[in-house]
Amino acid sequence: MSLKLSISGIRGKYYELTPNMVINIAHAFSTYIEGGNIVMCCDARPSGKFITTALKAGLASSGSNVYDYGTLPTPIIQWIIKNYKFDGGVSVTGGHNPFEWNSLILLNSEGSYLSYLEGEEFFNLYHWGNFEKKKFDELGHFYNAQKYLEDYFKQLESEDKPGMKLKFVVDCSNGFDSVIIDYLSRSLNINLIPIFCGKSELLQKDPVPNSKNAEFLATVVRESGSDGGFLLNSDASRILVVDERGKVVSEELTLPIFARMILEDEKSDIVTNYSTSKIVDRVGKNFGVKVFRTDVGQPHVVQMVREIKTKIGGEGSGSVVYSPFSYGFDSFIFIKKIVEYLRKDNLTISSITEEFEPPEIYKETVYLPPHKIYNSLERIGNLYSNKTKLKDGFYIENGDEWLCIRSSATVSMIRIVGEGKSIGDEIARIKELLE
Amino acid sequence: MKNIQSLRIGISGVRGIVGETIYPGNVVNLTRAFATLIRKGRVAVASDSRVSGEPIKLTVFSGLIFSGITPVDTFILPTPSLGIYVKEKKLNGGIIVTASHNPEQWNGLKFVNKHGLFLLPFTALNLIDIYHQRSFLKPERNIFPSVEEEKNAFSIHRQKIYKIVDIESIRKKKFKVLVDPGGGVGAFFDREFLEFLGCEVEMINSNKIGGKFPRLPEPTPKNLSRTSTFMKKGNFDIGFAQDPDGDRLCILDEEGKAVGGELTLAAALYGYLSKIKSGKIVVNLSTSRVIEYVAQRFGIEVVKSPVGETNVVEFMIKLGAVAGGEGNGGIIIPEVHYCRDSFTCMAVVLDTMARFNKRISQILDELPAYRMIKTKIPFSMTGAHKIISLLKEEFPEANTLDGLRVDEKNYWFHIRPSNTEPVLRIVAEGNEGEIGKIVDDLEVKIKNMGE
Repeated sequence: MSLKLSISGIRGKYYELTPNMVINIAHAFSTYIEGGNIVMCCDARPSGKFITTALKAGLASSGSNVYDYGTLPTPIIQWIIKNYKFDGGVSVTGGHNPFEWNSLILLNSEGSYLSYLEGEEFFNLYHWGNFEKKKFDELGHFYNAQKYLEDYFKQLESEDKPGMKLKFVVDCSNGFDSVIIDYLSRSLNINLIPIFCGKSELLQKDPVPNSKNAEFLATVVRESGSDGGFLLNSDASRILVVDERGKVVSEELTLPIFARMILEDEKSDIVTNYSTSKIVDRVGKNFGVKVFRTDVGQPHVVQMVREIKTKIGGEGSGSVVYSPFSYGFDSFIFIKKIVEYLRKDNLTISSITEEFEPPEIYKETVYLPPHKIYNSLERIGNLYSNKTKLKDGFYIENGDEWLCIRSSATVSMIRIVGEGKSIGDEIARIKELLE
Repeated sequence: MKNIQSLRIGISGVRGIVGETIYPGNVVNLTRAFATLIRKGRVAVASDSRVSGEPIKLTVFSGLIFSGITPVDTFILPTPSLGIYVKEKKLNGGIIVTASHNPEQWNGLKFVNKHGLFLLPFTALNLIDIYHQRSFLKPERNIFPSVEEEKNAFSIHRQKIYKIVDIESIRKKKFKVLVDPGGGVGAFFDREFLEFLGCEVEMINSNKIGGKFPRLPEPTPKNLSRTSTFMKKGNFDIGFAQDPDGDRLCILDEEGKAVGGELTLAAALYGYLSKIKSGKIVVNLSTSRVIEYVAQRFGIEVVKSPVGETNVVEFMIKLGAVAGGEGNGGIIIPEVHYCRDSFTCMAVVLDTMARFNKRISQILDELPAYRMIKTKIPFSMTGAHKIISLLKEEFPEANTLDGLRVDEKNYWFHIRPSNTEPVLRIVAEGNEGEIGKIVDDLEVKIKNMGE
């Protein structure tokens, strides 16, 4: 049993997220936003086929008009929802989870994940089970949407006149097809070599952007003599960079690199989560801006970006949000910024990334049965007096070193992440106590 | 109580009011039950022209895909066409999203097996058991089929019909035809179908995909008054009115008179049997003696089955019958398919007119004029069955295959408990002067028995 219902996604394996459950989620969401116009998209996972059909049926049966963009990364519909006044959206994507997983991500009329409070309201409604079911003449309609897709990529167009045409390799983790890559290469005026691009039920790969999963990409970058590479997860909400020599840059550096590029032109505080490397704090310090930390997950980070009215946010898992553009973690805005940055002064990716020390970060997981997770967290938490309580765990800071122990939002397990020289030993000790 | 009564899960499929008793939640479970029965392969999915068809069809897709069965989307299609498509393309089954002749607020599902036939009663009961047990097929691997599309499923059906009629002689007649699909699937197919037969086609009530049907959807004379009026103005040779999923038909003669389902079937059989001249036909126990008159004329034996299309078809298959039908309009011709079919009926009636060189009213005038009375008396299910057993004692000679059918020289009556309502249905037919009193007496007798 791996179903997990949260504002980060209603998540389960392909045999758990049944059509029946999807229908009820769709009824509840349509009832929650009181009908209206809902945008939807999916990644290329096989289970998306039955999930999207059930989703459409449920939404329309509760009175919503459905604008289906088909296979498309989440950040694009997040941008469309915000800019064209839709009432909400649903993305069917497993994001960074392995291919047997999938999830429904619910988006509000701003194109951001449901906030904590919106999530409370929504799940209350879902559990209450009293959904709007419309009569034959009040049902929603279906539209195969294409409109606004070009507008999104127009927004990515650069004003600068490119000198030499840059060439990059993009690994799409089989999440979406090459149409998107074509759009992207046209609007940024770059050459893109797609790999793991398109729907493939046989050629599946682990879509977490990390060093291990970037090995093949790194090889292709070297062999093709490209200016760099990008590894995206299956809905393009996370990204990792490979430099022009084929060296994989940690996903923890995605946010610091992004912040550094933006801050050269405009001032903005930075929002990240408690489980992200402090490298970004150094960037903030250099430019004289503050770094705020919040709970882990896109909903929390974007919520805080909006509350404190800042521009930059992101997480150590390889995600960035740029609020003047949209309220979603968006890898394409990252690619745009890096392309423009490289062009401006004829730079290479390594010339940016080498400004940063590789993060000394440790990530561990401990699998536990669901009923033992919170007890165990409390037990470990009692060992520390100086902790910051999070919604799903706690955070301890000691100078530059820190430790974040929390329940996973997706799988029944505890995640332990820390940074600093002595943290490795500390994590080993905690792991022993938990097991 | 209203809600409970408006969901009908029966052997002929499922019907309910959209948003009340038919909604994605129960549609997906019915689909998964059907998928569990079918187990694997490909299943064709069609809908009639109701606005509520699209979300229901998507729900059906989801249930099939989750079960590893490939849905073949045949879009808006007449019910008989889907059965033919399933059979000819060797699919594993079919699902039609339709509430047949029920009004627009209704919708439902009809299931067909790999032979393109409605599920036999015991299979349908099996389906209902699986539905109640919720023990559905579950995916074993993370591989799911995609929806296939077939935009041309009707053409297979059409070609089969054209083979049983004399196309050239119909074309020579250049019939002027009025068609009233009642806002149903016919609106998408009638014109092309009839124009191929050389007809000059005019259509009424042919708006495609409207919220509401332009008339009550059952093609009975009382629902066709506007169509009759329209016909009188137009100098037509014949008129055809269909139900929303295109299996039932009612003819209007050149004067615009809607002749009803019994005579529609009789007119079609008149021409078809005149070519066949041997074998058996099957009609149900409530069907007019006009059919027997027509059959006798061409040396054909009539066998009577219990009421319901699946029963008629079951008898036909068992007996190797050449044709069949029920009094609610639409002929079943095995050479096309074992399914009641308004398109076959239209073509055969035109064929009859062409071959005998007669106007439709002339053909109907040759048939004996009986008066048929249909009535019902409220009874609980158990009460109705009790009455039937009492009547059986009173009429020991009666046919008791489905309720009670009594045949006398000048009249007959058929009494049976309804499958859908808590009533006892009475159908009787005889001479204009006598039959009214016979039914009145029968009603008094039954009411006395009930006390």
